Amino acid sequence: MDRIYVLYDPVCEVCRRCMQFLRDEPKLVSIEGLPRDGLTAARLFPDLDRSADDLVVVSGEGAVYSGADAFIVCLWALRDYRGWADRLSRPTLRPLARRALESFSRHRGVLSGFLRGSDEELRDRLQASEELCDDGLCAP
Amino acid sequence: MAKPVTYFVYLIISIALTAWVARTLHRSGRPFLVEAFAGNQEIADSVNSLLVVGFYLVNIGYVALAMKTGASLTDLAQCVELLASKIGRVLLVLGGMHFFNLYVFARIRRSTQLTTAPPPVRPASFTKVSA
Repeated sequence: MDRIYVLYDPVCEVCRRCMQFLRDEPKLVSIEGLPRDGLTAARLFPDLDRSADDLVVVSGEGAVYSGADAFIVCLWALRDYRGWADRLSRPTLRPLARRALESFSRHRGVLSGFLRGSDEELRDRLQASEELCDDGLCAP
Repeated sequence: MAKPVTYFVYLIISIALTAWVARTLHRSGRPFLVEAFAGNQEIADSVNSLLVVGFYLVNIGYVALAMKTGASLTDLAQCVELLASKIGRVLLVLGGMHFFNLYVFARIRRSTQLTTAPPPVRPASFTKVSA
């Protein structure tokens, strides 16, 4: 496995920042972030069910991971966090990782609310929305 | 006269023990390190030698520092008792260092294995990827 696609929720500020974190970190496997409902994701994975409100990771070979497993695969792709991916996948910590990610997913709207505010962030969001338009996610 | 002889015997036994453990470590640790460095024998040999040098320095340093005694030695029994307690400490330090080295080997090996490991979780399903 030499590439993973991370399908994330582009209108969630926290998710976008997490995606940025994934882009910035040194990697052992290349990571491509795709807005979950975008055209690129639909074109690349025509048979993938994208209705579930969950983080989804798809490998270059088509293996699909969702929820906490997707989060663990994201960590596994990062050079400095592979050890953590290994630890979190063990039976003792895996339920904790699952609960933490479910809780994060449920409250991501609230968390994003805390992060919005400054003009700089507004500019970033507008730039991001252009990216989303290119990906077919603009309002008509 | 008893004290210098005891010191001399202590040094001989301690250094011989250190050399024996270091040689064992050097010989038996090599395959472990070769695997840890993904078959790169040059790096494995280099790390192996460096670890053994560190092992010698720490142990002979301890042996030298722990040599001096304030006890007055009047008969053979006292000499043997002193030797036993000093060499016992040296053996414990050697054992501790040996396990520490094993721990270092295991860590190096694990981190190399992680770099080439597949994802630690199984995929939920498979989907078609269009190029």
